[in-house]
Amino acid sequence: MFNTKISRRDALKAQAAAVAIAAAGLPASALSQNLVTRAEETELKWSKAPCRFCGTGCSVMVATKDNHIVATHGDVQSPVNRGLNCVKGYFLSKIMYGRDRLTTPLLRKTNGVYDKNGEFTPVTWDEAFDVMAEKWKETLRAKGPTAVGMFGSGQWTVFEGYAASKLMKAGFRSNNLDPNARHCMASAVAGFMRTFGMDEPMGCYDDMEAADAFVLWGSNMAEMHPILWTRITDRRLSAPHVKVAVLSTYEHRCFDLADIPMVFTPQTDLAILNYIAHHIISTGRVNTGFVNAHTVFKLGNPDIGYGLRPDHPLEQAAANAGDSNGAKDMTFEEYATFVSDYTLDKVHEISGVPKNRLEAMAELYADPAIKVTSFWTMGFNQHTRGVWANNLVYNIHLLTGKIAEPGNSPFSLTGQPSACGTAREVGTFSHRLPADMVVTNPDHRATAEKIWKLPDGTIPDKVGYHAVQQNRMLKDGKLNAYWVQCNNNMQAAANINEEGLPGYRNPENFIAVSDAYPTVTCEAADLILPTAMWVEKEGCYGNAERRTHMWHQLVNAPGDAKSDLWQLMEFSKRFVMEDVWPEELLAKQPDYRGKSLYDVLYRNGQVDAFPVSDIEAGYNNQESEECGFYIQKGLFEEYASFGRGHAHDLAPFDAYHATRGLRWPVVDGKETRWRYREGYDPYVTAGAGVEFYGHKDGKARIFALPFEPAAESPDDEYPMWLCTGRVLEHWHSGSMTQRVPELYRAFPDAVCFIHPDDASELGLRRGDEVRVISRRGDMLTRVETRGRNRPPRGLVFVPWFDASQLINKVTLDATDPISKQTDFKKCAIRLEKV
Amino acid sequence: MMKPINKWLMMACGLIVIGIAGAAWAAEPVATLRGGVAIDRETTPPRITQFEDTDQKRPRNYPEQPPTIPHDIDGYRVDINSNKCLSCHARSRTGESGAPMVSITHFMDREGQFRAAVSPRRYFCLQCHVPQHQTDPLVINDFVDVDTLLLNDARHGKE
Amino acid sequence: MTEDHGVISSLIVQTRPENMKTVQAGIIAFDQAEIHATDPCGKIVVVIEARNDAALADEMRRIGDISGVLGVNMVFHHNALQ
Repeated sequence: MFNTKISRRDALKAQAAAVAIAAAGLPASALSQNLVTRAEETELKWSKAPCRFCGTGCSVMVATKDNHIVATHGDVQSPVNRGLNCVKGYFLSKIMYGRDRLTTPLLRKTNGVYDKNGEFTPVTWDEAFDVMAEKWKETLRAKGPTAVGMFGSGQWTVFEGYAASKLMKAGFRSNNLDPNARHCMASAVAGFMRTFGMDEPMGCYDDMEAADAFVLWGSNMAEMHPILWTRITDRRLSAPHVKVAVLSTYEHRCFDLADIPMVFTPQTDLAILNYIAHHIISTGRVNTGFVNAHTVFKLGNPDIGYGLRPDHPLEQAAANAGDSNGAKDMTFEEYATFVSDYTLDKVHEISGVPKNRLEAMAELYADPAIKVTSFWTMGFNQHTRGVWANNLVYNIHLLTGKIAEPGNSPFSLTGQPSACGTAREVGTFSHRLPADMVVTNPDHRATAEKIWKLPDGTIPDKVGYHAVQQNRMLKDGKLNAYWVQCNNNMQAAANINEEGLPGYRNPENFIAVSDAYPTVTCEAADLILPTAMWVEKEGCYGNAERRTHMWHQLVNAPGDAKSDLWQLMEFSKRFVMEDVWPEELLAKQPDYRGKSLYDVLYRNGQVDAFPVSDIEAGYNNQESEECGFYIQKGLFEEYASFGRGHAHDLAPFDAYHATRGLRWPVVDGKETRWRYREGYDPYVTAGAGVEFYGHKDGKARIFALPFEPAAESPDDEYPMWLCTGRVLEHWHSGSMTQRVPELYRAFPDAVCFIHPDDASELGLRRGDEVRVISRRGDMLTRVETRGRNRPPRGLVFVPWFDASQLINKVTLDATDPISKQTDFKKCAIRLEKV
Repeated sequence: MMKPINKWLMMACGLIVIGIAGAAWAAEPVATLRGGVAIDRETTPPRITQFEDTDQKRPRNYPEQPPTIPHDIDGYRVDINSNKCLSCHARSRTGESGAPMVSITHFMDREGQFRAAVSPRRYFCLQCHVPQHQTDPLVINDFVDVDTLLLNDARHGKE
Repeated sequence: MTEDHGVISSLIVQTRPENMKTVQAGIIAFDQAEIHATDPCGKIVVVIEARNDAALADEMRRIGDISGVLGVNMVFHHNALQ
């Protein structure tokens, strides 16, 4: 007779032992034989995996039994999180089990045939891909490669992003590939490239235990990077001299730990940053030796527009809309004069921040005895001057030499689990190739073509459509065959009333969306492809501190759901080279005639170089078992060949399954924690001390850039600022977290956070229904005057995780003209009581 | 595909909403979290509900899951000066408060060493422990805990 | 109020290889501690059942006090009450 009580106790003890054995790094066979714990019956298999959510890159231990995930907990072996998870991470066990998982392809049909206005109807994968491939072939024949495109993801695995990049840029010869990381990290990328000539942070999370001060620039880490916040909290409360400064346009949970809290008027962060530079210079605290040896000064082009459609009056009026990235040389003295305009009095006046707080924060940077780490995320990046904001914060670290050493660190955090690994390093942006290379550089294209075994001239030399442009071109009928994978852009992209939704529903277009759940993006599509998620496939992510980490497939996906990687490969089998390449290109490589895209891209002797027997024993691998070779390993090793020897070195594939990840460049088996500094970074020339080798002259750029107003500011008709963002309990548009009951019930529906005085002036009380209205659209929500966010007067905050309250009907699709990243933090609205 | 719980459809206006939605484009909406309302239409935002407020501990899905907070926490301060949660859940306070003591896992520091007090890395309780609104989930979750799996094994004769 | 519903916890006890035997003997001497795994390089995986968290903390301290123990790290903790 089965005794539940004893079994539960035994199960718990067995689980306790298994977790500790895994944590100690011992083999499961280390389990003592003389102990009766009904091991067979209660045994769980514990494996590591990175968390599915944010860019922090926590490691979790995942317990499986009978093809189910039954438990997850923080991985004590991971240096990132040391056993902790945030509430989302603790509930990872449940994200795959929402009852509305998609398990079969769904195609819009009427009377049994595809119809753009038909009902979603279950179809086989064969039928789905037959119809989709036919649409792509039609489009390619009629309009060529610029009319096909793909919108990918910083949630894609490295393997998937790399496979997609090859498929689009080499296979279909279209650079119309962009990741949703465009909404998230593009300004950080452009900021890094402009200042350092090389992407991604020089520091790492170890800075948090070494810093004396933290400055948060538009980053609500307490909610968005909770585990990093535990490390900052630990540091602040353990070492009383440590100071935390928090800047935001409204008060949020980070203010609970702030020694220097600052709420500033939207957009004026640019002025504050220039004030700090001025303060450093005027008080004589420039690190002259460092500045002379390692930096040069540049005057950036001002008045660069707002990334709107070219006929918009703001673009017409902008002097440098056509050369937003331009800059010319200047001297230190000219730079000093430039920032001297940003006096304490003036910046206090435009930002609204008390003078003593501005000064106290400026001192954290100016005082040479204080090690200071700056963090930023969407407050900087989702900004029509986001690249400038990134450049300006590097300026103050460079002027003081407080950079690239433990505790002194300007640190750009990421939102998505593989924004760095997949979107940036693999190069899934419309202008990028792997390892920081770009499609506009002939040498870079030649390198990629050589590694990919392609004839010269295969990769197009023009930058493709970026995320916002894709929606505009869909609407204009210039982009007609479109595939969305692993993101929910109909809920994310700004201004869907005017751009996104008309674009997807344009009768000229065919839209396929791959997802695990029926999102609003799926609903706007013509074909929905059911997708395997997270540990239903083998994967690899890269986190914000350059840490590459991997996981195995731990369970099988439900029904006919298949991974994005499988989908990309299957789709490629439906094209022969004659379908996609012109005769002159094929003539250069006649042995490719008659071959399929799959043969050319994935059976090229490299991607298919590793046998299935290389897969670690005890783990399934659906894609590899089907294609007959270890596809993930082949893709990874081919991809890694781009960066090895070029300061992007990755370790051999197998090393990542054996560790909790490694921070690149990994040289001679050793990861790199601080780049650009001798003693930490093997790429720095001996004797140089510091070397910003991303630029040919080895120097970083200090940019003179002014304060310029936002694209849209409150006026009489629309008198309030709207800021959008996230909440702790929901991530990735809520598509997974809203299906976990505990997370849903912690924060069920979006609300409009508003100052109580603003509310009462409008005759609104907490819980009232209210309409949020902008020039582009409106949305109904409820008034919230209490709770975690406390906006100042004149600003409201609305989170965007709620599919039933699409705040992106209201937001403005203005972008940073350099990075093309949307400013989701600022537009003008009015509220009306319903 | 099974239908999820749909709180909008339970409302009286469900049929009307679908009728309007149908005009957007001729297909039944599939985005389950919008409860059948097409993307270009408005949903009625649900009322703000109260937090559940009891002293009943909820069963956990697995031992490693942080317990959810069974009571209302409106107005609780947890900041650099004070921590309202610890005023009942600290080891020294549980005697008078009757509240469960903070798990001793919280006494481990980043290096895994046991300390005399709660580790500062665990200071902000709400990063892991969340209260629950009085509302039903939008979508049923079919997660199966290990006890149920074991029970199923037993019923199928694995015992 | 006391909470005597029972807690289960696992620990990694670190010692030097040459002290493995004596430390294991010391651990086994406690009623509520079971050794579930050992590693020749000096790691011992221990599972403890205790009445409550306070008793568990006491037990951990006593294990920490065994001569030759370098560190006691808790990995898993389950409190039936919470």
